[in-house]
Amino acid sequence: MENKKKLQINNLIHNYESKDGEIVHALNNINLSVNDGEFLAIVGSSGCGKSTLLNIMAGMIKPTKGEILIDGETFTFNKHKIGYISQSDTLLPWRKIIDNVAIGLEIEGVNKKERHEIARELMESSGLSGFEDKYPYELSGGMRKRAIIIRALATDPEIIFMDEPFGPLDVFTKELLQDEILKIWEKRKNTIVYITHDIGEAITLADRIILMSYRPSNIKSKYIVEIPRPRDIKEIKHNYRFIELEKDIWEDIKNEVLKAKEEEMISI
Amino acid sequence: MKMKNFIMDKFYSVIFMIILIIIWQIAASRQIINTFFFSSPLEIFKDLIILFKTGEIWPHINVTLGVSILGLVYGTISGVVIAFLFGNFNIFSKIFDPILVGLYGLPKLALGPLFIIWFGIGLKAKIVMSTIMVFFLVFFNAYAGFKNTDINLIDTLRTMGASKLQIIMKVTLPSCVPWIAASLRAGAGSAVMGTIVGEYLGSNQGLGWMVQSAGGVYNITRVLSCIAILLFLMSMIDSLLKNIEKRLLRWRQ
Ligand SMILES: Nc1ncnc2c1ncn2[C@@H]1O[C@H](COP(=O)(O)OP(=O)(O)O)[C@@H](O)[C@H]1O
Ligand SMILES: [Mg+2]
Repeated sequence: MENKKKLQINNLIHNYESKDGEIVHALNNINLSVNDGEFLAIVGSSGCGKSTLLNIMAGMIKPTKGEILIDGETFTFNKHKIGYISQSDTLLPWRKIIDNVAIGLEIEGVNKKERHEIARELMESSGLSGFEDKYPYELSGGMRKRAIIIRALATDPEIIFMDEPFGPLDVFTKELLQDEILKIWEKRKNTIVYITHDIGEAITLADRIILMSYRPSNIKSKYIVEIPRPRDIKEIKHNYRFIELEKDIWEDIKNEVLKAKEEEMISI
Repeated sequence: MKMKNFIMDKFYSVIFMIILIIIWQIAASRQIINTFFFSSPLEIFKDLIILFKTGEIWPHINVTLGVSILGLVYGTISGVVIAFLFGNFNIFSKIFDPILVGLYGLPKLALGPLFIIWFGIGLKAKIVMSTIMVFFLVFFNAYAGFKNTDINLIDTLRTMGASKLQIIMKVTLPSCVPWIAASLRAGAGSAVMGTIVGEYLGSNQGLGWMVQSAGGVYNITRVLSCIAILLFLMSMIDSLLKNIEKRLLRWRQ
């Protein structure tokens, strides 16, 4: 499979210094590449450094060492357009939904008429029409998440980074949104890097899954999902490949989770 | 419709005030209280009619109101601008934070006589006084607002490639608006207070001056008339600001 590399991470190391001067070795020499149009999921136990890795890839944190390349060039916000969706609710509360969805375009200098047109279209396609002039507090958690997702899509970014985007939502809302992500991706083929601690979610969505070890973390294993698309969010759970992968990854991650637990016990 | 809301809003306090005024009037008519010191609602009412009929009161209202509004506007603008400098350039807060906190503790009205000396008994001293009173309130609130800006929102805009100015205009400033709005209503009271005290200390016009000069000759009725006018003005300003605040904060639950 000779694919064009969209994103490349070379020799990435990241240490945090805690308040009492203690060094936390979060990431230990990570090398990773993501193909153009690939849906990559990164799984790992809580505290292993997933968010750190994503934030570095998305340009939010400067790494201690290493380089991030998009299309072979050093990543900067000026040169590259990315989408970033985190667990937190990041709609601007003082903006109407349509102006929230359109804010990326506004920053790029697209005129009001045009950006509203794009936003309106996206809102319609994700079941948000009629809410254009509402404020975020007037929407449910799931709807706000939808708005955040289409806000990221509005500028048509080269890569979309997602950090456990559906973490705090209930199971039903979560599955609806996963289904939506699948549909969107199958249509648009954006490059997506998706972080989750939910193995089932990773298999459902991704082309390839990367498992991170516990701190100082590294890439422990890689899995290719190989379940045909379009996928059905319900049926996929009965797919034999899904069941097999889930078991394998779970076996693989168990030791890391135990290690994390152990460390927690000691620090308590 | 608006007026009706306004009245309904204050229904209970209006009833309470009316009862108090009736008791006061009865006490005055039956000479339970000495009207030389306490006057009476009827006397005050008559005095108010004279003041407005002759039009004698208007220049004083205009001066006091005008100076207070200028103080509120200048104080708010300077408070927001300086809070903004503090929030964005560490060097400012390093140098001035301790100084401002110290000054904040100082009773600013005590500076009045200095301002009269520096700026004379004209309007300038009162505007300065009123501005300073408002400045501190707005500054500390706006600064708290800047510090409390949700870092996630700033990060979100950064990933969209927003410039520093765009982040300020689209995130930092709007997120300070509730804080600034909250200080505005308190600021209006301070603005009027600064003006009045300035007028007490030295002037030849304004409601503060009127109170001062009437008090000097024991014209208690006149003093209380002026205070009634002040009360009315302040409650008008307050409900106006409340309305503005409501409009600005429509996006909140
Ligand atoms: N700003 C920070 N300062 C110090 N330590 C941090 C900071 N952010 C994260 N860490 C530590 O780095 C490790 C990895 O964190 P994180 O990337 O958030 O993990 P994950 O997203 O996988 O749960 C954790 O042990 C966490 O405590
Ligand atoms: Mg995380």
